[in-house]
Parts: sequence; C-alpha cells; structure tokens
Amino acid sequence: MTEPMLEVEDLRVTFRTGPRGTPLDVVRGVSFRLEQGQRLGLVGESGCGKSTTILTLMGLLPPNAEVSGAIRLDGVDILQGGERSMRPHRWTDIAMVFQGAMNAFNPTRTIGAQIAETMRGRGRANRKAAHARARALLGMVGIPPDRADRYPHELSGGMRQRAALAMALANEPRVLLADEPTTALDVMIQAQILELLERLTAELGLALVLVTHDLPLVVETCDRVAMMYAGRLVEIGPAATLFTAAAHPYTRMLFAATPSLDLDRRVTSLTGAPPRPDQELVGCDFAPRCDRAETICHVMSPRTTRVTEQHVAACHFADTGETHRLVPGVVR
Amino acid sequence: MTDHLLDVRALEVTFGSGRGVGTLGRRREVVRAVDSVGFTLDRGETLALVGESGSGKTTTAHAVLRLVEASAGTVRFKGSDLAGLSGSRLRALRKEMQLIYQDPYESLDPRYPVGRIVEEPLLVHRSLPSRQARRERVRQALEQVGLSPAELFLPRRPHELSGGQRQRVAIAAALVLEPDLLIADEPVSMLDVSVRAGILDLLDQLRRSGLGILMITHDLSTAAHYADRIAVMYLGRIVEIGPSRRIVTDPQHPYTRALLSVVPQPHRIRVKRAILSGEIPDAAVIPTGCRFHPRCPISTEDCSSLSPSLEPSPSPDPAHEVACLNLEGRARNTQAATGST
Repeated sequence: MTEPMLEVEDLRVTFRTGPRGTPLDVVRGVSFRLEQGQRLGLVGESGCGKSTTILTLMGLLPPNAEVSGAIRLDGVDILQGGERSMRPHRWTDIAMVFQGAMNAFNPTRTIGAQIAETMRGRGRANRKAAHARARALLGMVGIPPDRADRYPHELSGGMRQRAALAMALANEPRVLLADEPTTALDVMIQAQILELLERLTAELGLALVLVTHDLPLVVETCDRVAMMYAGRLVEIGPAATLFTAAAHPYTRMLFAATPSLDLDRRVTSLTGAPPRPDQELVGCDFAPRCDRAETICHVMSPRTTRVTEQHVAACHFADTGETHRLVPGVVR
Repeated sequence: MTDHLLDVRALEVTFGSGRGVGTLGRRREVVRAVDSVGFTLDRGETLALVGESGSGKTTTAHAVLRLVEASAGTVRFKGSDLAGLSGSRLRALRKEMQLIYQDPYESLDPRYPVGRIVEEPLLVHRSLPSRQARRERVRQALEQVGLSPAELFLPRRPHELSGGQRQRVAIAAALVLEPDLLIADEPVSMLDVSVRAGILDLLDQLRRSGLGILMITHDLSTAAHYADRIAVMYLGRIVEIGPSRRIVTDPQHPYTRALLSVVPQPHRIRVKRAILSGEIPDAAVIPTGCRFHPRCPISTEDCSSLSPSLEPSPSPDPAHEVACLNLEGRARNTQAATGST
C-alpha cells in the first residue's frame, strides 16, 4: 500500500488545568488518513474535540496541552519533534481557515499586504512578487484583484472569508483545514464558499478537512465523513453511506435531529449533551443518549468494527452477527 | 377585517431619513429597510419570515413590536392599530407580544438566578402584585418549557445551564406574561444541532396551545418543518408567501428557487445548485423595478422598470402569492409572439 499523504494515528490531547485541576482528555485516540484531493468532513456537537484535533495538526495548541500519537506527512512523523518539526510545515504544507474571518485579519492593514506578508515571512518572494501573487490569489477565490488595496472592514463577510482562504493558500499548502468556514455566513454565500472549496480541491489537488456541525452540508460537500463524539471518532465512511446506512446510532440520531427539505421525514431531537471531558466514563460514551443501548453498552467500551472496506464504526451493534470481522485497534 | 391576531399592511421602515446632512457634508442616505410588507398571522399559527441578512426580516419584526417606528403602514394586533397607541395602552398590548432573542448566551443576565430572570417581566409590567402568585407563575412557566422540576432550576445561574436550557429560560421569561404572540428571532441558530429540534418542538407545542408565532429564520429547512406558512423576503420586500409545503415543493419566485437549491440536502447529493453571484445589495442603493432583477436568472427588460407586487401564484393554492413579473410575463410574451405571426 502506498503511503497516505497525511496520516494521523492515535492522536491524544490532554489539557492540564493547574496543579490541582483534573486533566481534561479532549482528544482520545483519533486516527484517519487523507489522500491528495480528498475531502474529509469532521462532524460532531460542540465540545467533542473537532477544533482541538485540527489545531493539533497545525501545532497551534496552548502550552498546557499534552499531545501524543503521530501526525505523518508523507510517512514522516512531524509531531515527534515538537514545535521545531511542526513549524516548517505550518502554512506551507498544512494551512487553516478559521471560523471568524473578521478576526483573521489585522484591521489596520490592507488585505493584499497581509496576504503578501505570509509569503515574505518565509523568504520566498520579494516584495513586488509577493504583492502580485496576492492579487492573483484574490482573483482565484473570486475577489476582484483591485480589492487587494482595501482594508478588512471594507469587505463583506463572504468576501472576507474568501480573502482568508486566499491567505491560507498563499504558500501552496497540500492540506487545508477549515473550521466551520461558513457558519457565520448566509446560505447563498455559504454555497458560494463551498463551491469554491470544491473547485480548489479539484484544481489544486488540495486535501480538505472540513470541520462542521452541519451534517447535510458535509454529506453534500465531502467524500468521506468522520463522526466525532467525546474526543473519539465513532464512525468513518463514505459520505453517502453515512447518510443512507449509518452504522453508529450517533450518526443516525444526529441526522434525524437535523431538519431538511424533505417534509415527510420526522425531525427528532437528540436529548442530553455530550459528556464533559472531566467526566468519568464507563462503557460506550454515547450509551446514555443512545436509543438502542443495551446492558453491554453501559459496561463495555465498544471496539471498532469494520462494516465494509471503507466504513468503520465503534458500536457494539455496528455489524450484528458478524463478530469475526471485528478489527482491534484504531479507526482508519 | 380584524379577526386575525396580527394584521400587517403596507409596512414601511426607513432609516437615516432624519433632518440635516450626514457626516462630512454628504447627504444622508435613506435606507428603506422594509417596504410594502403585508401579512397576517392567526392564533395557533406559525409564520416564518425567511431571508438572508439584510432582507429586512428582523426589522419587520421590530416594527411589529414598535421597537422601531414604521414610516408607513398599519400593524393591527388583536384589532387595535398599534401605531395610534402610546403610553399605558401600548404597554398593555406589548405585554401580549413577546420577543425571544437569538442568543441565549447574551439575552440572560448572568448575575441573576433563573427564578429572578423569569420573574423580571412580571415585575416590570407590575402584573402580579403578590410575591406568592409570581413565584407560582414562574414555576408554571419553567415546567411549561420543560425545565422540570422547576425547583431544580430556580436557583441556578445562566452559566450553569446548557445552551438549550438557556433558550428555554428565555422562552419561560416570555411566557410568564401569558402573551398571545411570540416573535422568535432565529431562536435556534446559536444552539447545537442536537438540541435545536427540542426548542422548535417546544415552540410548536406553544403554537398548538393557541399562540401565534412569528419566526424569523434564515434556514428554509427549519421554516419548512416548523412553520405553517413561509414568507420569503428579499431586500425589504416579501417576494413569495404561502403554505410551507407549497413554498418548498412548488416555489415560484426565482429567488425562492435559488435559496432552496443551496440548502444542503443529503438525499439529493450534488444537484446543480443555482448559486446567485454577488450578495444582497446595500439597502441604500435599491435597484429600480424588481429589486431582484440584477441577480435574477430569468429577468427581462420590464423587470428593471416595473416593480412587481404580490399576486396569486399559478399554483392551485389561493394562499400562495408571488411577486414576479415573469410568471405573468411568460404568458404575455407568448401572446405577443403568437400575435405577431
């Protein structure tokens, strides 16, 4: 098997909260692979560790975070060497777009200057070339290049999110991490940004990790979807499969809680909330909220079951009747 | 006709139309945020105002409550024209129309326990003089919104509650005054997907118990599931209004069609989205004629000069109205074409 472009293995993040505070396990063994041009959706409720996971990939966690596991880029672990091994890849191989595009820019400098600066900081281009490329990048994301001379407040929310995207792409990264990039935007603008992301992944061969709580959006935009719950990946599979044949009740119930235009489908709310990271957990993390939990679920943590070649789920009932297909270890 | 709970006609709200000149000697621009908006709402009914930012949906709601003053039009609530009222009579009617805000993290006073937050409206409106009676009403309201047993929640402060629970507290604070009309401004958009349905179910339960609900949302899926009727707004005007199922399954206005096509739909993966380029224009520079014509995929020459008004749509449902010249225009053009041959 060829090496994946990006491979995350058994990633764990624990926050230390002072000398007497309980350590908070926010990411609890996340593994996935990403190939060139692939779009992976990372979905879950607030507080499930989605943002922490991608901030870890960027090496942007606060100092009180303890990280273990492996982040392999072309087979080379970049997590092991700490900041020194992360830094050369940040923005050049792995880049990120944040949720609030307003805060991604310095309000006192023009958009173009700020995009150019990200290139110059790496000693790649001289001033003139960097500015020319900033304009070209703006053009690529659908902003008239003359807007390079505008200040952030002179652009609309949608424009700013495009500009943030242009800035993330400045150093030709191979992996783009997008944390709820359209949450603050109107539906029409959201559609424009999603279309742009789809185009960029196709044209530039960019791999995308799209973090969102919007399941229908992810199914429409991504090739694969990873469901995250209480710091773990509970299901990964092809986007369409997760919608039509989810193996984990969390996926199914979250879909059921989301209204769609299909008026004949009932919307049922998912009661309760995900466990807090300081909670003691016994059995399956989702069992207290699950509509088909049985005794075993409350006492034993489920292993990861391979449902099909491309589809795995961590549920005792993910693959009823075919226990020989149980694969120990991590979700891939 | 006064049998509707709420009857809004030809509502118009303008901003910046004050006297004098603006800053730096420039003439102040008049922003017409809401223009000729009309609709009715009955008891036991939910009407959703749907549109993008800048479409005027929130301003419409605020004008209904007279939180902003309308420059023209009438708002009749239970038969009384609100525009003519002031002082105690306005306060008395306002008590019966309550607003629920979008963000339960901002709308609740963090210093007060839940019991006090829910009691506050009763104190402000001096509606129950007895402390005992107020306590009882607060308890009822909390139970009504599913915060049960109420005793458990009374002493808690907002930071001890989840987002969904906070929004329930906000709804309870609206319900203690026993209103007839609830205006819910994006009631779930700040909440986690998993708890949204619970809040929307609660609102639907309140509707069934006889309240009229005016729901403001940008989410057509939510509107389709939880509203009886949908009014689609674009740049200060209602472009299409009708029963939710009609709007979703048989949209007539090109803007409604475009909006529906960009709603993420897992069950129809990768249909061609009819993405409109650009954004809603600034309300200070409203396009002439039909406001939607610069972005409209089917606009004709007439659209830049003639402003369409709401008329019965070609669909069989008489409650379904649409403001588009081209529905009529199509017929007319065909006629003209046949005439010339």
